[in-house]
Amino acid sequence: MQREKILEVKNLKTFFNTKDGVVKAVNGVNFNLKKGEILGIVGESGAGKSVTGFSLLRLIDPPGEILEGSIKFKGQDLMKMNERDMIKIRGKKISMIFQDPMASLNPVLTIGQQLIEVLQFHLNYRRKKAKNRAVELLNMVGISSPGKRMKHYPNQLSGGMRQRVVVAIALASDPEVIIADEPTTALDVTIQAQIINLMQNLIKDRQTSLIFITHDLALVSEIADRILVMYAGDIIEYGSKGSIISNPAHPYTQGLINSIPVLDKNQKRLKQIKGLMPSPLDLPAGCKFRSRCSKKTDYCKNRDNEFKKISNNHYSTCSEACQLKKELIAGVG
Amino acid sequence: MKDLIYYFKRDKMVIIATIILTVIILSSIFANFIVPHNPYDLASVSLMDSMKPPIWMKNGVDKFLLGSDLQGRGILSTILYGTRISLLVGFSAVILGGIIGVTLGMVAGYFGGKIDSIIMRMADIQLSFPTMLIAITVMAFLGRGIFKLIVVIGLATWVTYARTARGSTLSIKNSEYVEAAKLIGINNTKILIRHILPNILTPIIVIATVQIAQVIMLEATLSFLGIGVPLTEPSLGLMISDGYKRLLSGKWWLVVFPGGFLVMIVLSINIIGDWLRDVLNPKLK
Amino acid sequence: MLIYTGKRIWQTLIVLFAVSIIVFIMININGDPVQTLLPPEAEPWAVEELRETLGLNKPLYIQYFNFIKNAVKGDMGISYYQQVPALSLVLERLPKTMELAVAAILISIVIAIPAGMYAAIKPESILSKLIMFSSLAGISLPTFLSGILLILLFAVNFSLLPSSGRGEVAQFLGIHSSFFTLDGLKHIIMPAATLGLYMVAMLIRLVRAGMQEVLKQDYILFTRAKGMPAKIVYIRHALKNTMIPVITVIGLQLGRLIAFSMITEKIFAWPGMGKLILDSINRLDRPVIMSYILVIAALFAAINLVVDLLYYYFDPRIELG
Repeated sequence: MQREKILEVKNLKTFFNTKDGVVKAVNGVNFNLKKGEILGIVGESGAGKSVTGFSLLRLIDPPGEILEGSIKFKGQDLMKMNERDMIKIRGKKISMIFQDPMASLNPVLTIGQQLIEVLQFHLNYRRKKAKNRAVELLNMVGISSPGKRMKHYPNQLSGGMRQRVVVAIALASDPEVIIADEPTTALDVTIQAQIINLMQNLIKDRQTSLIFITHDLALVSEIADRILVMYAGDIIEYGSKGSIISNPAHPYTQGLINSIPVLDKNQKRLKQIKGLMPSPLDLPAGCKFRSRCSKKTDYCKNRDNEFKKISNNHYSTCSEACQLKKELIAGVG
Repeated sequence: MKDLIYYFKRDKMVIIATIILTVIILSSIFANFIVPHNPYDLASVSLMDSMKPPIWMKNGVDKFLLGSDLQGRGILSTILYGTRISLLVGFSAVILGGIIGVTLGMVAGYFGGKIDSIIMRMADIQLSFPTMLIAITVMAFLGRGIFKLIVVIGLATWVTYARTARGSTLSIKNSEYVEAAKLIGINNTKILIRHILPNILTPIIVIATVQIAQVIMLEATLSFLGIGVPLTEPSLGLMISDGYKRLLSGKWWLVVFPGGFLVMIVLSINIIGDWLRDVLNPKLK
Repeated sequence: MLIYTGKRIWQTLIVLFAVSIIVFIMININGDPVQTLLPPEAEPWAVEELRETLGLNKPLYIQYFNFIKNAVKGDMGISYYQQVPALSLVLERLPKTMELAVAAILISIVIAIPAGMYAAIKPESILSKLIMFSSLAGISLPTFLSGILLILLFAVNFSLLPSSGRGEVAQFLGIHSSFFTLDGLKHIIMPAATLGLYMVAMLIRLVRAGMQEVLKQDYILFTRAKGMPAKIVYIRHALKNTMIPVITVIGLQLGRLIAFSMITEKIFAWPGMGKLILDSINRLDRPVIMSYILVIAALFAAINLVVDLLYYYFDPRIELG
């Protein structure tokens, strides 16, 4: 059954006007998200993943600007909404979880206050009802003696606990989409697994869609249904988890997969991708990965950014890969 | 430095402030050559010229561009002579306070321990009283005098520099180049002067700039209260005080011109100080 | 909490002790009050007699010791000039100065917090630039000058407001204050505005800088991501964080205001402590000067303590120790 598309992003461009020039952080990306789906966005830092996430909620402040594009949420274009309607989407229909739980809670307000205000504002709960619901939510994310915790300030909680609180806040108004921006990067590995499990369980029950932004391909391959790979402001490859992992088409994705440490394989040394991402101030024409690519050809200098079909539900911008693939198939045939 | 010029050219307010300040400083230094007669030379003033309004008003005379005061001194001439003293007190007191404060602050930060706690405790006690209060009380006891003013204001403001100098010293005293200098046996005095001082100078310069404005205001206030510059010397504060006594008679020019001049000086310095702080602050770049 | 408060009070006593010595020495190296009290043609025996009654013939350390002994009992000596207990003279003027200071603080908070917030939230707007320039100008305007300019404008030119003195006072809930009569308000508005001007200017800059810093924090972005409207984001989340340094400064500025009130009170002939001390300095009235300085020192210490405790109340991250 074809699931309902809950979010459709078309040609999203977010640029930052800095002293040194225009930073093209997100340079015309297209993707969509289905109901109940977990979509992973992967890329190294500076690839534009987080900016994409913030753009979806229109949380881009000057000098940044969403230049063009449409973000259709259940058919409604968020880009055409005024700020007044937009705050009814943020945190209510689409909520967000940030990277650093230490920094995302206000240090001078209690956990309870920060949770209750969401319920009061978005769901119009009365104080008493909001309070009861807040305790329920804290309980749901696995915080012990939630009644007592309500009165605590963030600094009285551990990092893992704080991220649980953030998850509770994100889920408070039963959103349809959650954008999680590196939600576990700042946490210990064991806590990471707990938080991931918690999020998986919670959204499964509610058929909530999740956009999971991370630099960690291994992590995303565990939880995502589909994966988008971003590089220098562009999506360069996307497809179902299985085919991206087992059959990466873009040399960059291949590089990412090769750099994942694997326990049972007897790896002598991790393969890393040489070089750095090009400066976002001065992006080259054609394939932006070219300078680091071992398979580059003259054609890469000015090729377009069109997606080529690799297989069903798997697309990549790299035609080299496409070419290779065909040869491979021909060879087998 | 190149950066400084780049940012300077982009900020119109700072350019205007610098031009105004330069004109004021130069014209007060060379007041002797600009002003036709010294207002404090009794031979050159005449009571006949008393209380003339500015030149563009009825009864204004050509001789006094901005009018004259009770003794028949030209307002503009007196302002230029008075500004010279304000600037002298401002710069000297800042240099004195700066030297004391930076020295004590560096010593406190560098050596730590007992010396540190004695110096900083002294600073805390002094800081629990406003500079203005200290200066007023002490000057009231000591009596008027330009030299006394410089010393009292210098001593009343050392704490600001000391705290900054101590903080910066603490943050660099364990850096590798200081450690290296210690290892090769350079003595402490040399380390403090050659290696630490140049590295903590930026925040000190920013503070000193703002302090010059503060000191000039303080000097004017003390003179206004009659416990600053002696009555025999020209001073913006004294001029304003004279004007204040005759305020209800409608002789506004006695107050407005020296007051306006004072504000122009202080505002220009503050604009430059603000700009320096923004430009030199690495956090904002 | 109790231990902390006790420790602070102990520290305060040490400061007061140090201050009393410094002031005592300073007073004694300067001027002979006997000469200002008696006519210059007074007989030597009269001078001696007065010295004895004032206790000025004894060695300095005994004078100091007597002074401290009496001070602990609340006796700071008799004013040379007015022949009444010096301490009560100062304390009687205290409420009038406090009245002025409170009015000045109210004015500055009401103006500075919204103006500073606006300038931080919309830094590029013309109004913000105007606010910031005015605040820089306000900092550059000495208190005595702004007072005089206000008098020139509103008392001399427009004859709208009285230029000196305290107006009618009425009693409300046991407090005598100018706030409760129209005449009183008319009298207090100019001196309070004069006294508050510097603080308005400074607070605007402080609130703006603090707010800008807070607005960069992740929790503000997170609050916006939660879909909270501007009112909640700026007032509930940002302002409370901004207020922590602001409260400290308001507290410290209260001390400064009391110092600056000397000048304001002189200009507007406001019958407060500041005017008293300036008059007493001219008359070398030592007991009054001593009383004033020690009252001020105690007041400042109390303010600092309250500020510390408020700080603790506002910032749950602070552990007192």
